[in-house]
Amino acid sequence: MVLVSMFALVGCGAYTNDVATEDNNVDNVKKDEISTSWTDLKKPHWNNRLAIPDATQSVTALAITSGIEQIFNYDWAFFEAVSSNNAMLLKSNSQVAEKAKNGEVDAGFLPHDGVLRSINKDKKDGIESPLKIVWPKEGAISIQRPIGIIANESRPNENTVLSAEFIDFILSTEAQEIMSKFGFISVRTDVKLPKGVPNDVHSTVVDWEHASENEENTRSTYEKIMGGN
Amino acid sequence: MKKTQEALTKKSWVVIKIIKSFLSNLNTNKSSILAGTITYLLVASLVLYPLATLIFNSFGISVINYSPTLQTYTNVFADINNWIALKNTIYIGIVATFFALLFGSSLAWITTRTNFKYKHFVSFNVFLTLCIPSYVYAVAWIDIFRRNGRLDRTLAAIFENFDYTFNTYSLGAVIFVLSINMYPIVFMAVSHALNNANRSLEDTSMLSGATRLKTTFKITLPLIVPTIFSIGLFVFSRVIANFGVPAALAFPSGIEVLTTRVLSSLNNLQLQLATTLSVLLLAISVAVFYWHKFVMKNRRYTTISSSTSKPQLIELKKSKIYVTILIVVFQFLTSILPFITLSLTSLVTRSHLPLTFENLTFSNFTGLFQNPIALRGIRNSITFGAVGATIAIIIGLGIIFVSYKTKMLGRKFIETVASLPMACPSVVLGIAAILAWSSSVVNIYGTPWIIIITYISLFIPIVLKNLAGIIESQDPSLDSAARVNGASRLRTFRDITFPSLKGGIFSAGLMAFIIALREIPISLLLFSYGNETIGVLMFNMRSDFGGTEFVSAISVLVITLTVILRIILKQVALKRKNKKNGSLGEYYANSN
Repeated sequence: MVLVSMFALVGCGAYTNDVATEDNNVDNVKKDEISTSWTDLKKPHWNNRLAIPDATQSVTALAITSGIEQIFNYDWAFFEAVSSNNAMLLKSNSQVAEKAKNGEVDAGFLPHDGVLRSINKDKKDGIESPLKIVWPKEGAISIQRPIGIIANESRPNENTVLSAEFIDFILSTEAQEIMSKFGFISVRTDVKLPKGVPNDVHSTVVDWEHASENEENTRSTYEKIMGGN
Repeated sequence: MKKTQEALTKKSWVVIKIIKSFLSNLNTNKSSILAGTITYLLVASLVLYPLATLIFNSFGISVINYSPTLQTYTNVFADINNWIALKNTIYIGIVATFFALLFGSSLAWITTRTNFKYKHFVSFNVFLTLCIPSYVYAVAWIDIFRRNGRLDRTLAAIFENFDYTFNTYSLGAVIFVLSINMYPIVFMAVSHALNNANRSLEDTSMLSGATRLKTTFKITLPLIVPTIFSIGLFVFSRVIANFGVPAALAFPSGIEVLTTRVLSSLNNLQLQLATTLSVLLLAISVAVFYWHKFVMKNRRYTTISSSTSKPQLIELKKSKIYVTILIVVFQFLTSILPFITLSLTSLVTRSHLPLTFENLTFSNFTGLFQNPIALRGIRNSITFGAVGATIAIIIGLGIIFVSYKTKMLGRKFIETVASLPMACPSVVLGIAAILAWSSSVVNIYGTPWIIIITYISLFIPIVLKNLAGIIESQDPSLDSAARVNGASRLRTFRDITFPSLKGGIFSAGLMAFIIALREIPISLLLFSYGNETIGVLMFNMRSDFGGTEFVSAISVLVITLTVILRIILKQVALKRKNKKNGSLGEYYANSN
C-alpha cells in the first residue's frame, strides 16, 4: 500500500471483475431469515449476527462501500441499520467469510471469490462448507480487481517491453482461465464464469469516477456512522 | 526464496568473520578508536536515523522535501477520531496497569509473606503466562467468548434455548487480556522487592504489638511503593504500545486506539497522518518510560536484607482455603485454560465442527510444515530473529566496549540512543523504518533487510541491559592487570571482559529470538511477498487458506517453542547466579 505513494504506476486496469455478494451461513440461519436483498440486512433479526469488511482498514471494502452508497442513491440508512445491528468490522474480506464459517456471525457481504475458494478448499478436504452465497435482488456490486505494475526508472526498456508482454499475457485466455479458477470473473467473454457463479447473475455498474471524487466524503461519513458502535 | 535465505545467512557470516578478524588483528589503541567509530556510525544509522526521519517527516521535512509545517499536527487535532483514539489509549493504559498491579502485587505478597502452600503452582503459571504472547491471548479470548465459541457451545449444551449475548469485542476485553498479559512482570518485580526488603522491620512492628494488617500497610507497603510505582509506569508504557490486542479485540467494534489508528491511516494511504500519530504516540511512550527510569534510579533502597534468621510467615488460618481457591481458579483460567482451548481448536478439522473423535486431526500442524506460505513464515521468523539477534549482539558489544572501557566523547549519549527503542512502540519503529528505508536515497523496502534492521534496533537494548549488569559487577583491576602487561583496550576486552559476558550474550540472544517469534506490528508494516513472518500469518487469518483452526495451531506452536526457549533461558540464568542483573531487560523482553 505504501508502494503506491513511492513509485509511479505504469499499467493499471480492469483485468478481472469481481462481484460483491451477500454471504450467509445457512446452518445457523432459519429459512425465512435468509437475505435475498441488500435491504434484508437491515432487519433487526441480524442483530449481533453480521460482519462486514471495514472501509477504514481495507481499500476493497471502501470500494464496496462506495458501491452500496450508489445503490441506495447516497442514502446512508443501510449503514445506519447495519451499525445498529452491531455488525462486526473486519480488517479484510476473507475474515468475513472466516467468521461466518466458524459460526461467529451468520451473514455479511464480501467479494464472492474468497468464499468460492473457501468452499472449494473444504470440498477438497471432504467437508461440506457451511457457507452459501446469496446474490442480492438489487444486483451484486461489480468491483474491479486491478493489477499494478511498478515502474523502475533505472530499467526503461523493461518498463515498456516487459510490461507490454505481461499485459498481453494477463489478458490472454490462458491467464484469464487461471483467474477464473481462483473464482474471479474474467474480462473476456470467451472465458466461462467460475463454478458457483450463476450465468444469470445480475450486477450493478458502479460509477467509479464519481466514487473516487467522493472518496473523502464516503470515508468520513462511514467513520461517523460505524465508529465505536 | 531459498536463495535469498542462503544469501542472507551467508552475508551475516561474512559480517561476523570480518568483525572477528578485525578484533584479532588490530591490537593498537588506534583500533579501539576505530571500533568505537564504527559503533557510533552503526547506532546513528540504525537507531537514530529512522527515529529522526520520523520526527522530521511529521513536521514536513524530509530528504526530498523541505517545507516545515505544523499543519500536520493541527490536522491531527482537528479530527475528533484522533482524540477518541488518544482517550481510549490512555484509558486502557491506566485501567490495565491498575489490574496488572493488583493481580501481580497481591500474588507476590501472598507468596512471599504468608504460609500459602502452592508457591510452585503460582510460579509455574506465571511462567506459562509469560510464554503466551499477548496476541495469542486475544485469539484465545475470541475462541472462548465469541458467538458459537467454547463457552457459548458449552452453555447451549446445558441449557435449552440459550441466548448468548456477550459482547466479545470491547475495550473491557482489551483491558482484561492486557492486564493478564502484564501481571507476571509486576509479580516478578514486587516479589524481588519483597524478598530484598529487610523483614526484621516487619518483625519488629509485629513484636511491638501492631496487627498484621497494620504492619502490612504501615511497613511493608511503604517499602515496596517505589517499586510498584516504577513498574506501573513501565507496564503503562507497554500497554499503550500494544498493537495486536486492540486490533483483535477493539477494532471489530469500531473502537480505535493510537496504535491501531496508525495502521488504519496507512491502509487509507495517509502516510502523513500515520507519521504524525506515530510521533505523538512516541512522545507519550518516551515520556512515561523515562519517568519510570527516573523513579527506578531514585528509588530508596531502605535496607538490604542481611539477617539470616527466617522471618515469620503470616498464618492465613481460616482464609487459607479461600485464598488458595481464588488463586488456583484465577491462574487456571488465565494460563492453563487459554492453552487448552487453543490446543482443542487446533486439533479439529474445522473450528465450527463439534469436538468428536472423527473430527480430530493433526493436519493443522502437519499443514504448517507442508503449506509453502506457512513454512516460509516460520522459516522467515527464525532467520530474521537469528540474524537480527546476532548483529544486535555484535553492535551491543561495541557499545558496551565504548561505554565502559574507553573515554570516547559522547559514549553515554550513544548508549542512551541505542536504548531508545525500548521506549518505542513497535508500530512506531515500523513507520520510522518505512520512512527511513524506502526513500529515494536508501531503498530496501520489499527486502528482508528492512525487517531485520528494525529487529536489530529492537534487540540492541536487550543486549545492553543483559551485559551492562555483568560488566558493572566486574573487578576493574582485572583490566588494569591486562593493560599493565601491554594488552590494548580491545585485546583486554576480547580476552578479559568477553569471556565473562558469554552467558549474558546467550540470554540476550534467546530473549531476542523469543520476541521474533511473537512480534506482529513490525513485520506487518514491513513485509512483502516472500517475507511473511509468523506474526503476519497469525494476524492475517484467511478463510480460503487457513482459518481459526490454523491460527490456533500456529499459536500452540509459538507457545511450545517459547516454553522450550524459556526453560533453556532459566537454566542459563541459574548457572549465572545473578538473576537481578538485566532485570529491566528481562521485563522488556517479556512484555513485547
